[in-house]
Order: sequence, then structure tokens, then C-alpha cells
Amino acid sequence: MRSLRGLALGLALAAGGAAQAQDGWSLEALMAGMRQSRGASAHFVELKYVHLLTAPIRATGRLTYAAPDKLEKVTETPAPETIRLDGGTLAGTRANGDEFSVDIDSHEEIAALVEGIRSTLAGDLATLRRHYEIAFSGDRDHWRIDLAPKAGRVREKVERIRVLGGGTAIAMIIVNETDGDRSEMTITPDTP
Amino acid sequence: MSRAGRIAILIWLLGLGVAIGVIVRTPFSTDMSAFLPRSPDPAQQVLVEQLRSGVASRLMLVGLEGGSPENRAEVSRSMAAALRKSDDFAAIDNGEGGVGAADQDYIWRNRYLLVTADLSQAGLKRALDEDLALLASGLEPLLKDSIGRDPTGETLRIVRTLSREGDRHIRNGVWVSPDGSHALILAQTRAMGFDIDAQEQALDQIQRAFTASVHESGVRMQVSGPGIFGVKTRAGMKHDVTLYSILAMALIVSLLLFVYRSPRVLLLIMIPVASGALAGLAAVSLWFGFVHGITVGFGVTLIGEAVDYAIYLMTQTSRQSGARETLRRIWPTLRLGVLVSICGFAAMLFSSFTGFVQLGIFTIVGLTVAAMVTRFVLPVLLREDFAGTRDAGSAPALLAIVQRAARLRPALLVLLIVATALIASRRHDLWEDDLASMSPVSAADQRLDRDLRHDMGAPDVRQMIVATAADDETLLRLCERMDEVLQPLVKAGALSGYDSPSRFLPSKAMQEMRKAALPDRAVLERDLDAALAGMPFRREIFVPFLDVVEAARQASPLRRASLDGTALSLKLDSQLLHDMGRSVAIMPLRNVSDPARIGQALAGIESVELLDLKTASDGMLHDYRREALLLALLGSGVIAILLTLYFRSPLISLAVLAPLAFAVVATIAILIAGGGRLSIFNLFGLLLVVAVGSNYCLFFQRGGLAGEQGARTVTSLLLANICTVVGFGVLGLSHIPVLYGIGGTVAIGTALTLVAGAILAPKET
Repeated sequence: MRSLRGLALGLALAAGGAAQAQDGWSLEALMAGMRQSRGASAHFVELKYVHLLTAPIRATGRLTYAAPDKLEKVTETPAPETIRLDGGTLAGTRANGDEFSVDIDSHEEIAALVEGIRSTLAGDLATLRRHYEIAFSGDRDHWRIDLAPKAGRVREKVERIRVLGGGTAIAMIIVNETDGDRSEMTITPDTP
Repeated sequence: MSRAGRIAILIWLLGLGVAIGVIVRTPFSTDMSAFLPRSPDPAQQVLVEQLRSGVASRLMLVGLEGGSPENRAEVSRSMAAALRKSDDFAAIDNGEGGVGAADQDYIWRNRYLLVTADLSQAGLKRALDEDLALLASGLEPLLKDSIGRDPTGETLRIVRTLSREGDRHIRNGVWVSPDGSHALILAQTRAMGFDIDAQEQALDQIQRAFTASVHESGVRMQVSGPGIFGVKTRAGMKHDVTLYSILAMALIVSLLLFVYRSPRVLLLIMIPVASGALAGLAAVSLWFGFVHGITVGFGVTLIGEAVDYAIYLMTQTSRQSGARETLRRIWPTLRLGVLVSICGFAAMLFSSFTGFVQLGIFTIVGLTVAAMVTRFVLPVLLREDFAGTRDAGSAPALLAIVQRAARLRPALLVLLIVATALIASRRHDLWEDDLASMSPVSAADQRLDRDLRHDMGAPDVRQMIVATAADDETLLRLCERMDEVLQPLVKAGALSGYDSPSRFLPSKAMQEMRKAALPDRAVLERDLDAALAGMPFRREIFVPFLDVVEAARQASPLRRASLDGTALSLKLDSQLLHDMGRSVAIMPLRNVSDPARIGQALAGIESVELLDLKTASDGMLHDYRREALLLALLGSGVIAILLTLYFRSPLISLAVLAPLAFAVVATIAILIAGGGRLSIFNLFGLLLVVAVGSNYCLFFQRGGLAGEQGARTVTSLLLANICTVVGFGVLGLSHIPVLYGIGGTVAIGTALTLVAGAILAPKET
């Protein structure tokens, strides 16, 4: 279902601060910390700057992650929508009430994007490297991962995914599309 | 050699030359549909056409099992890539990609002719609200590209209806069975299903693509489909016909060598058979332009029946009597026998099965020629002092048995009563009306096919709506009217969906209506502006939309040629046919749960019919079987009349027919005794029993069963029958229904005729 392409642009969430600080901060260390997480939930506020529109769209809702591969995004405003990623299946309910269920592997654009978020959360560096060129910077409290898609079809759409965070919590995901459109998702973890 | 003899030889050799000349130019066919009917009913015609060449007949179903899911997906992708490069396939569907690029382009360009778009102010407002909601959602990017051109989302709507992607399971990027255990590929061959050579080539491509893709992944492949069945059937048929013909020939030759102890006599016996077979093949070729493999296979028929003539002549010729004297004596009986056989076989000429018509012509011409060669050529080739067997051997003993056989008449009566009772008790369960039972495809292959089709969902095209009209335009309008009937039924759950040619080629009337309903630019701009009021869209992004709608208002209507180069064009070819000057639409229905309700809804519409392939084909078989029964009765009736006219005595005629009647009843009883049912092939076998067996009865009635002459007659009958039983009996070993159905019946029936004939033979005074 082509209309689902790019769904992953919005899929992200915070992993709660379950991990302990490590000696020396690196991408490997961050990933190792991420792997300690069993799951988490968060609120998000997403601002989308779309060139078709005169003003950004503001969406809000909740994100839930359960290790190692379940991710759910429930949008509450402006229109209710649920998107679930479970293993290789992407399913949910659209704003108009339609149910859908597709296999992400048959849509490599979605797959690559979703893996970006999910692999970060799961601390799966190997998978992350398969799909992206990775640039990492910052320190333990303010780090930044820049992901540039490798696959041609994805690269045509998405320029860069930037994940910002501190400790093992993701604070913000910024996606830059090739047509100049941009989305910024600010994430506030629920305190357990 | 007499002058008449020389002329006979000359004519014979000339005839053989011509026959061989015709045969070497003859194409041989194994199209199994020759044994499907030529039906006058248009709906049935469509059905047969569908079976032969429809889209269903061109599908090859590939299932990949074993190995890991990733292995299967890898093999599927690699095979599909290889097969897409092949010219043998019109379409390869393994779940990758979805609706093809050419199709998307056609839909994209012509969307406002293909569907009725609501471009009113209210409609636009509703669509823009949805677009905005989609931009807010995670599902935004695809629509983002098309919102400016197609804000109401018509393209997506059409693609979704056509691709039905939601119905199937995709794992690791390829189509899999619902339980995930098989990767599935649906290949559509370019060639018709009955073009077995092309199907074989396509199958070969699939196998090569698999071999090149499988590496050491442990993945195994299963392939099924009508074309594959055709290929397998031809191979099986070739194998069986070759094997059993050679086996029968070897057995008959050994038997004849054993009896006559002379290769020369054997050669002479084969002369009428061979001449008859060649003449028969040539006649069929001239009449039809091709000869079916089964017709050739039934050359064995001729060996069984026409060998008899030479056997009668040879065996009944002693050194004292000489061949000419024997001929003078037996010719009237032999001639009558040939005539009777011809009457029996002639019934086949009226069959709806091309294959049986061919068999009828083959046998009639073959028998006539064999009899003529026996009468005019053989005596010339025999030495003056020829004797069939050096001495009568065991013949007197045989004659003694026949002379005492009359004692068994009460037993025969008892058997007849038992057999009749058995048949009567099974009269409601006597006939095999399932087309699958006639199929030469093994039960295991049929099961595999069913499983794969089940996994793949729809394409067994069991239920369909067939609509006919005088021309395409009227037909497409009819299809559009059907939308109004069917869409509510889909909503109500009577079926899950259907295909219609008007989806991608609407009638001109409908296209004009849609064009006329499109607003002109000024109106559209005004309504769009009104709809955009208060929304965050930039107005300028909708300029392409205004342009496209304006262009659509001027567009020339879509024609069939507009689809050239798309996969939809092939789909149209399979759904919009031309038959006998009329246009025919095939609308396959998916997952029908309430056929009665659909039938009811269609009842009021003219020239539209709900067709259930299974019910229809079983019904067709039922019609055929009635036809075969009618033909068999007709043949028997003509034989009875012929005999009565010849003997000028109903009593003698009855005496000739009585053993045949017994044999037919007893054979039926034997065939159904094990719980089996009678097939149409058994019926044709019974017709052959009457045709062949009548010769025995004539000799028993007219042969003068006394003295050495009588002994030789009985020997010749026994020998002739053994040849027939052997010739047909070995066919009974085949697993192909048409071969064992006819072979077994004839072997049993003729043997019973001989025994009954002997028992009922008149006592010599």
C-alpha cells in the first residue's frame, strides 16, 4: 500500500532511562545502553512543515515501545490514527476508520526508515549500519545521531534522520525530506 | 496372377501411396479438449472456450516450499526476475511491485474517464479535508506528491480496486500462502492453455529459472495449472499409447506366430490391418486437417477388430478348400459383419466430442479398407495350396465344447437376472457425472492444484457472470448496469468482489457522461477556491489539477487500442471476448457465499447469466452421457434393423442380438460390481462391444458349426477374440480414463459375447 510509504517518518519514541552511565561515551556505548531497555512509553508533539501548506501541522499523541520489536504510535490530534509495527508487520487504523495491515519488507522505503528508529531503540547497531551511513557526535547528556539512508529509493525521499537525546532517552527526531519538507517530533518520556 | 488380381494389387498399392502421402503431412494433436464437446449452447461454448484458452487456462501456479522463509523469498525474487525477461509469459506475479508501471500510467492519465469523480464544491471540500488529515498522519508522503494533481484521490482508488493487494499475504517482500509455508508465484503464459508445445516450453523456463535460483537453499518447487496438466497428459498419453500398443502388438504377434508358425502368414494377416490403419488416418486427416493422439492410439482398435478378418480367412482355409473357396463361403457373413460394425461405429460420428468423431471415421474407413483388402488383395498374395494351420489341432475339441455349451443356457439366464438386478439396484448411482473423473490428471496432481489455488485466492474462476451483446459498446454498458446490481451484493457479503472489463475500458456512453459531468475551468476554479477557504493549502499547488481536468474534458474516448502495452490489455482480452459475431464479457466473481441471491438479482437482466464452472461442466457431462446413451441405442437399433432386413427374419436377428444383449448387461454389472460408476468412456466401449461382438454372433449363427469347417470357424473366432481381448485388455492397464475406460470394457464385453454366442449357438442337426 503505497500510501503508507514514509509512515516511519513519524515513528519514534523514547526509551526510558533504564541504563546506567558508561565509562567513555560512544555510539557503541549508547547502543549497549539502549539494549538494556525492556520498553517505555512517551508523549509526542510533532510539527510538520509541508510545502503544500501555508502553516505547519501540529500533531500530538502517544508512543509505546516494547523490546525488541514492537512499536506503536497513537495519534490523538488532529485526527485519531493508530499505527503498530510488530515484527515485520505494519498494521493499524486510519483516520477514516479503515483497517490496514502490510508487510514492511515489501516496502523497502518504510522498512529502512522504521529500522532507523527501531534499531536505535533496540540498540541494534548492525541493522542500523546496514540501512544508513551513521554520524555520531556530542556527549552523554547531549548526543546526536545522523542517519543518511543508503538505499536509492529511500534516498530519493529522505535526506537525513537526526535523532537527539540525552542518556538513553530520545528527546527529538528531525526528518529532512529531499523536497525541503521537514518534521520535528519532540518526545517527552512518561516517568515510570 | 489373374488380370483382376493384378488390378486389385495396383489399386491397393496406389491407395497406400496416397494414404502415406497424406499422413506424412498431417499434424498430430494432443489437445485434450478434442474430448470436450462442440456445443451449440453459447454459454457452454463460452465455458469450453474458457477451459481451452481463457485466462484460467493460461495460469501456471508455482509454490515454493522447504528452506527458510528468507530462502524462499530469495528464490521467488530471483525466479520472477528471470521469468519476467522471458517472452513466454504475459505476467509474472510474485507479490513484488503491485500494479505495473504501464498500468499506473494508463490509470493516472485517464482517471477522469475511468471513474466518476465528484468535483463539486462539497466533494472537493470533503476530499481536501481528508488530504489534510493524511498529511498530518504518518501515511503522508505518497499523497503529498499527488495532492496537487489528484486531490480527490481517484488514481489511488482505481489502483486499489485493481490490485487487491490487501487480500494477500506478503512476507519478506514476496507473496506467501496464508500459513506462510509456501512462497507463491502466479505466471500467466502468453500462449493458450491448449497449445501444449508452448506450455511445455513455458514449464521448461520455470524449471530452469528455479534451478538457476535455488542454489543449496533446500527450497523445493511445485508447479500446477491447466497447461502443466496438458503437458503431463501428453507425456502420459504418449507413454501409455506407445507402451501398450507395443505390448499389445507383441502379444498378438506372438500368439499368431504360435498358432500359424509362419512369419509369412503373420505378415499377411497384418496387411489388412496396416492398410486399414493407414487409410483411416489419411481419411481423418483429410476430414479434420489434424489427427488426435488418441485416434492414433486406437489403431489398437483396428488391430483387435480388423485382424479378425484375416484370421477368419486364414484359419478357415484348409489345403482342400483353398482361400478363394473359403472367401466365397465366409464373405457374405464377413461382409455383413463389417456392415454391422460400421453401423455401430457410425453412431460415434454424431458425437459432440471431436475425438470420438475422429475415432468413428477412422474405424469406419479402416474397417472398410481392411475388409476390401482381405477380400481382393489377400487371396492374390496367398499360394494356391495355402492352409491356415497345418492341421486342425485342438479345433475339434473346441468345436465339441461349443456343441455342448448349449447346456449352460439356464446358467446364462441366471447370470442375466443377477446382472440385471444388480444394475437395477444401482440405477440411481449408475453414472459418473463428475468431469474430474474424465480428466487424465491424477488425483494427486488435482489436489496439489486445488491447494495452490486455495492459497492464491481467486484465480480458479469457478463462478463467473457471462454477459453477451451484439457489440462491445452495448456489452460494456451492460457491464456497467451490472455494477449497480453487484455492488450492493458485495456490501451485503454475497460475494467479496468481482472483475469487470468496464473497470478499465468503460463504455463510450459512460465516458461521455463522465466527461460531460466534469466542470469547466471557471466553475472548477470557483468551487476549488470556495472549498479551500479557511484551509492551510497553498492555492497554486492545484494548478496541475485544473489543467488535468480541462484536458480530460477534451480527451478523445478510450478505445481498446488505448490499453496496448499494459498488462490490463491482457486482462481485457480474457474478459472481453468475441464469439460467433457477438461480444461476450466474462466477469469472474470472488468468494461467492450466496450464489442463489446473486442469481436472483441477475434474473431480471437479459443476456446475463451466472455460470458455475463446476455445476455447468458436470451438467454438460450429464448431457453428453445422455447423448452417448442415445447414440449407443441408435447404433444398436440400426444394427437390429440391418440384421432383420438381411435375414428377413426377426427371429434370426434376435438370435444374433441375444448374446450381445447379454454381454452388454453382464459387462455393465461387472464394471459397477466393485462400487464403480459408468463413465462416458464405458458407454463408448459398449458400443465397440456391439460392433465387434456382432461378428462372432453372425459366425455362430451362420457358420455351419460342424465337421472340420466348423472346427476351423470356432478356432478362428477364439483366436480373433483373444486378439481383441489382448489388444484392448492392455489398454485397461493404463491410468488414463479414456484408455482404461474403453479398453477394459471392450476386453470384458467381447469375451462375454464370445462365450454367450457359443452357448446360444443353434444346435447342428
